[in-house]
Amino acid sequence: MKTVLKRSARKLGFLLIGLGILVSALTPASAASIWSDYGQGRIRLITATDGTSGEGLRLGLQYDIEPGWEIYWRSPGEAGFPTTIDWTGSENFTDPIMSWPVPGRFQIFGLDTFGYQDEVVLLIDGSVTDPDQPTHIEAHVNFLTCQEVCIPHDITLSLDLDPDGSVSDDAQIINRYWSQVPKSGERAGLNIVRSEFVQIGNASLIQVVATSAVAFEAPDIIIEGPGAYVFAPPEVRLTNDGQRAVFQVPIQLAALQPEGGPPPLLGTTLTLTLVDGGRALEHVATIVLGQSEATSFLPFIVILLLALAGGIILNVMPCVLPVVSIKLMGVINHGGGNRSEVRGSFLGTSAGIIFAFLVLATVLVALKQVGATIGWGIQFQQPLFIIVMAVLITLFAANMWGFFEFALPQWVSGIAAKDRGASNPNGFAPSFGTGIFATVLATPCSAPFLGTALGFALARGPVEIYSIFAALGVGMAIPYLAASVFPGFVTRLPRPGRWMLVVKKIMGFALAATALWLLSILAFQVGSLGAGLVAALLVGSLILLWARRWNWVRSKRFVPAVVTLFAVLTFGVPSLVERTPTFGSEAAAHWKPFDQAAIDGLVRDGYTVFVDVTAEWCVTCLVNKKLVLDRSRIREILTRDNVVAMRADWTRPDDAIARFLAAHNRFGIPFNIIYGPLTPNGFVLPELLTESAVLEGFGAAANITLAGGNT
Amino acid sequence: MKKNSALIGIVLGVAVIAAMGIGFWKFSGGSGGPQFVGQVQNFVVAYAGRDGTDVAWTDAEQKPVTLADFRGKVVLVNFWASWCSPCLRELPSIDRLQNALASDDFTVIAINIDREGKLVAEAFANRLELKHLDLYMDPGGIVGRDVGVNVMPTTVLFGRDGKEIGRMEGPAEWDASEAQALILYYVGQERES
Repeated sequence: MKTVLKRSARKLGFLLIGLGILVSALTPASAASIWSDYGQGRIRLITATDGTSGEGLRLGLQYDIEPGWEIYWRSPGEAGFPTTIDWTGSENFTDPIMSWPVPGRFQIFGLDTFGYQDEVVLLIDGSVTDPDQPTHIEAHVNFLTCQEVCIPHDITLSLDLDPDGSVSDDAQIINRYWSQVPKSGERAGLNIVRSEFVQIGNASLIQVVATSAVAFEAPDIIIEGPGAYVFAPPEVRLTNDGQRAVFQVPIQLAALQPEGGPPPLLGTTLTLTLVDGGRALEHVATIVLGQSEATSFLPFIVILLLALAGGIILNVMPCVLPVVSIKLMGVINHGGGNRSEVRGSFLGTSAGIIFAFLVLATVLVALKQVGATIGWGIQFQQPLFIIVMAVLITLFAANMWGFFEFALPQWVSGIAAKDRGASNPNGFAPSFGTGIFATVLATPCSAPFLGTALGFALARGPVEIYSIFAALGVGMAIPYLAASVFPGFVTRLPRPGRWMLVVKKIMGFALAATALWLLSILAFQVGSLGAGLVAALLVGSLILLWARRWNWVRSKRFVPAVVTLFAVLTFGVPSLVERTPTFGSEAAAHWKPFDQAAIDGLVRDGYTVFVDVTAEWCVTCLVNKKLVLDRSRIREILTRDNVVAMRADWTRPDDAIARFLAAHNRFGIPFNIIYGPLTPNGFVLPELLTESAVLEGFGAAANITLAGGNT
Repeated sequence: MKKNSALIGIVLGVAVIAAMGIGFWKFSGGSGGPQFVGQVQNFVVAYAGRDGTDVAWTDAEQKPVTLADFRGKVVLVNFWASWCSPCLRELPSIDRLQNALASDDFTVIAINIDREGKLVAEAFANRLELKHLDLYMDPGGIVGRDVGVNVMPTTVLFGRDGKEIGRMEGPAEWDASEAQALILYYVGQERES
């Protein structure tokens, strides 16, 4: 019954068209054709002027669509076809070009389509051949409309225009829809930063990163490309307070494939339409190889687990080993001690670690609030921090060597010396101090997972920063927590004896080596003169402490005062001593200083640029250099004529480097990235480099492989 | 007298309504006739069955095919296109219907009306994993015009004599039990006649 009605309505429509043509022929010049009813809506031609006016003529094809029915955009999506117009029969009108207002995304029977509902005006810009003559427009419009069913229509509309027209009533609606036609270039605060081809496992994606001056509301991205591909609805993640959107668009093969299979997407040109509410931007992009911003798509809980793992791994990174050795000493001293004491001691260390991480989080949140540079381990950029650490470590070494008695400086424990617990290195307070100390020393070591978690945390708000840092702390504390739960492992250790003295001596030298390492960092920061001064003061203190074995020295009341004075003097070195040239460690000649501005140009000229962000205090960076970057095979690639190796030294604070890292969502080092013709946006390498990872990066960036091809 | 004529009027009225009711009941299948329910509730019976015998389309080898080639069978002709979402949605069920009911008495014919013809038709048939339907095309849209197809999808049931039994506009799950029952009803009825 419904269909019968529909059919008669359609017949009525045709009758009306006939009438309409008759009417429009009788009326001399109007701004619009009559409405043509097609059963599921009506359609007409409108103009912005009630006649022609000069050589340009903008027409509008206005659809007034029944609720629920859709007509299609220029790219209909998975099914449908767009409106096409045949202008045969028009007079004095040429070169019509159609513009499409931003479409909506509609699911019809599970298929993803782009089109319009309710109302739309498609815009046609053409030329009037002779502006002094009347113009006849004849539009044979072919279009499809779908809801529960699809109905194709062929409708002819006509319109006669006289010269010397003035603004018509329809100008407003034409202008409104013209403003909804996506334009290229940065518009309405919208910008497409990157568009890349990304592989995650076996799945291929197009990843688009877009920014908006004001927060995105419900951003969408529509991709038009070779017909061989279908681009599914994107997964969208917003970061940076909603001002940055990362779209990941799954790629599917279309049903219809050209002979020889689909063309490769890499290097192909796609048209991207970024839509957010009423705002839209059209962007033509050549697709390059990129890497997934997978972290934006990971659930928060996964990030927390990564942080936990990163925290555990920190325990075996070289920076923390000296502190772990202090802890071990304390434990061995109490070998066979009582279980509850061991338990308390490890709980104390755990608490210290977690507390320290929360303090770090607080500092970072505060720094972020005032817009300062934030990063993992950046306190090592401050000479004063290095000196304090060097003094502490030296005192620990002196203690290990038996130069003086107390296990930990009283101020670390914050407990008066008469407190029984403080004189006991396994008491809660000293253990707590050890935990803090371990955490602070751990920060120059970026570990696997750590970078991901930190990048996620620091790009977000206080809640994320606190929870991720708490997870890092818990992760790093896990071995100690385990020891407190199973104190049996510790109490079963052999009782201290002569062997203990030997072990203590060795650990003392390990700590001394750590102090030397800190001094070498200091040399890079304040010059060799300053570092030498600090070293002299420290050695002087050591000698004084060592000399206390003789009674005549010990009796001198001034010795502790002099040691304290020396320590205080070291703190003043950075401000007292002018920076002098640094000795040693001349960088290999093939490393050029970091110049971010030059990278784009170099890549355009066909170079491949390898960037290594490093710092003297970054232990992992040192490992990367020794085990990978300085190896002959990698060195051979880095010294090739078409490769530029850049090194950014972050030993001292440097805003340009900090911004460079933050742009890649990294806040710690090492950071290595390769820019090449295939990866102009950069190909990020893992924190812990391997030769194969670097080779893979060069392959991805520029198809660069080892000479000879044998591995 | 006045009373009598009023009574006669009432009796006549009741009789007419009853007759209509019985007629409707019979028509709507209450007595074993065709049941237009569920997936096929929009099936419309053709009162003056259009003759589709001479309508011609092509097969995968571009050879002309007409309904006359299937004389003796009840034929369900489905019109589909790659641009028609509801068509793509229902096609797998039409494929399954062919698998379930194809016999010496019945077959399903799916005619693609894309302008690009075989290239597109074949690609989408493969994408939809159609296994039981032969590929038929009508890129010029001639069949659709001759048979009077205005809406996509449209599915037309032809009798053994090539005359239209009825049609349905819009998509359906054609292998649903009520759809199969409706088709089997006409297959059985035509065999008797």
